[in-house]
Amino acid sequence: MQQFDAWKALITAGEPVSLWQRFYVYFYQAFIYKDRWQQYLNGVRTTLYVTAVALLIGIILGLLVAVVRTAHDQQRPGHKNIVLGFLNGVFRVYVTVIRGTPMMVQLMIMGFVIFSSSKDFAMVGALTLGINSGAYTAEIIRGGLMSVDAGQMEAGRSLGLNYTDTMRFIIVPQAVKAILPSLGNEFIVLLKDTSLISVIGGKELIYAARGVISRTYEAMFPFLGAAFIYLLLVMLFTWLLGIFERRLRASDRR
Amino acid sequence: MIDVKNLTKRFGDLLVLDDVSEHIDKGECVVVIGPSGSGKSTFLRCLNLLEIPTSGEIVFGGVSMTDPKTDINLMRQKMGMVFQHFNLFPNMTILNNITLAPVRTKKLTKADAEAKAMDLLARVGLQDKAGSYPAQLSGGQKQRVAIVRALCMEPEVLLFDEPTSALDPEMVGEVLDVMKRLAKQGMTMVVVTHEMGFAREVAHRVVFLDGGKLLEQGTPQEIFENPQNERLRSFLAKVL
Amino acid sequence: MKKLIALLAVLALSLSLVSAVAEGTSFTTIEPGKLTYATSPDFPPFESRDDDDNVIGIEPDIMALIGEKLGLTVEAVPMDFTSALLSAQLGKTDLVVSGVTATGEKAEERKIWFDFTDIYTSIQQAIVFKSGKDITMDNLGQQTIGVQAGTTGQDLTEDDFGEDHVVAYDTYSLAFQALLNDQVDCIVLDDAVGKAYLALHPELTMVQTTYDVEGYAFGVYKQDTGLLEAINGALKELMEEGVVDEIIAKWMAE
Repeated sequence: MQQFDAWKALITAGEPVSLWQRFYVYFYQAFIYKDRWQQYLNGVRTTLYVTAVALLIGIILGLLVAVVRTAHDQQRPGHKNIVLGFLNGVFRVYVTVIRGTPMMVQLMIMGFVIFSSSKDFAMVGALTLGINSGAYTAEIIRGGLMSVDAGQMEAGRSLGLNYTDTMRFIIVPQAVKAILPSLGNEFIVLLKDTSLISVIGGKELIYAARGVISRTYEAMFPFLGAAFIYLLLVMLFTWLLGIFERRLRASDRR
Repeated sequence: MIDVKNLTKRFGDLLVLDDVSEHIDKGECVVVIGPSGSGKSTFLRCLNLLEIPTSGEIVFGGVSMTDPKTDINLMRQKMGMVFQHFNLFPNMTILNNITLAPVRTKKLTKADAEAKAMDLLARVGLQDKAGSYPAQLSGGQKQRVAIVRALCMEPEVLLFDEPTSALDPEMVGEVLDVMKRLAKQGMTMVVVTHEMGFAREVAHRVVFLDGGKLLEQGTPQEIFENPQNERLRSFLAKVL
Repeated sequence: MKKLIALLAVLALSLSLVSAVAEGTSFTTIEPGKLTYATSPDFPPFESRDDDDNVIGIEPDIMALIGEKLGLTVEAVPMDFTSALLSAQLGKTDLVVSGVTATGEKAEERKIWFDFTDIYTSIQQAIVFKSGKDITMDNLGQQTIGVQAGTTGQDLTEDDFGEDHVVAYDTYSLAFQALLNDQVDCIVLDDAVGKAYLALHPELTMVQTTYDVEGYAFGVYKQDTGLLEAINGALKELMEEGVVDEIIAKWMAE
């Protein structure tokens, strides 16, 4: 603390200081001074919360869209279901619009038009990210479902299982295993995309960093700190995903 | 038990089955033979509507399979099927492979299904594999499990689609033995196969398909020792 | 992007007008009893954030006193500058209070989207650069100029020298980082803000431009509820009492 005050005074007075002294002062004021690290921690909490909610929405939505679209494409000729056809149409529009527009614009529309009276920006952000992620997840899952050998569906149906049960117990579990790497990738993108919600006022990690920046007028260290935290989170996530993947693969080889 | 009336199947412009009619009795073991591309697999897959007939009718146990109002899932529960590539579910243990369908379709309780599965596995000598995954089994073991999986639904008829074609030669015998036993026990079976020995020994009736047409049928003796049709004669000359 | 937002705003304005209900009293706010304003708190000394995430500065102080006079609790909603403008256009908040320029061509364009209160202070654009360089209004065209995106500084310099000479940053903090890194030669910004940064960076120099003096005011959500008149009334009292000048002097000194 004394060191910090002394060296900071040197920098403020325009005296020549060593690289280490400059680094120490910038680092100290970005993270330690006034316990500012706690602000980043609060930001991380929101980041994780938003990621979790968005992830959940994304998976549920993605699975729903993927299954409906696959079911629609796999209908027997002459047995077209009107409800399925309608849903398929709606979901196709959904995927097209979400994948075809920038996330920033989606955030603006959600934050200022659709939920114009809500000030829970984190929740609005989570919802937007979830809906966005759902479109990508849907296509990933759809690809996974299509990659499962057609004989699996035939075997399930030949036993008298209905389409839903065959999907649920046989096709989807196998598809999940196949798409886990791309799904993990989507989750990582999602985690980092939460930084966008600071634009509409979501108080996540980048918002916390910007707060410190607006006080210290120094942008490098708070942003580097935020980047480091993102990196840690992604590494942790990748590690967990690896464990999960190895478990799923247990049935392949022993 | 199964009545096939004027069955025709096209894949686009390709005529795969051309006006095939056939009747299969209860307890009968019918073997379908013919060259590759003759339509014999398609014929079998039409029986449980894995392929939708272009025209014609399939009647099973007095119920029209091809009628859109028929609950096809219910009908399929009475028609087991064994595939060339086994199609076991790789994400489940052997026991779960077998019990999934009877439990989900409420045919058996979980406990009953497991007891039955273990009993059936014991009969094909695989009771110690109940907790294994398909990837840990040999081809012959997988196919025996596939037969048990079909049997656990207590079907009225079993359809075999080239059950030994994907097996290493030394494993063919163990699968055929199981099938022979089933036939002896009076199971109604429709078998598409290239195993002429099996056809000769086990079949009650042999059906010869070529170019999507049913050209000749009869007892194994009639077919193998006194073939009438020219194409059947040249086919047998090649395979025997 | 700007045009897209404007387009969106038209769309949304018609939607959100439905939710604005006049109660027939002298004025109403979006949330009864509460005066909400959107702000981009990276514009010291007008607004910034303290370590407890409170929005502080000249404008928050003025807003607090206006709220007192009108008998309303005041809530600041921090977000990006563009989002803050949007927020008052679409009626997510009653006002945008973020150093909004209310004079000149820019204000004429902005008047389509929200009403302006009376101007409470005037400032001029200034040039900030590293001491030792010789940058004036005359050779500004030969420099790479840093600005904050969406500010008067950006508009004026881009009009005069072309977009190729101007680099727009999301926040002033980033613009200053770029200046210290020699990525830009100078920054053009409001002199009041420049003074605040100069206090922290003694190695910098500031000179005034010859651009028109501009007035700062608050943007009020366009609806006929008497809120604009009420705020103007309170603001007028505060200015007559000399309180506004006191607040400005206090923050400029910090």
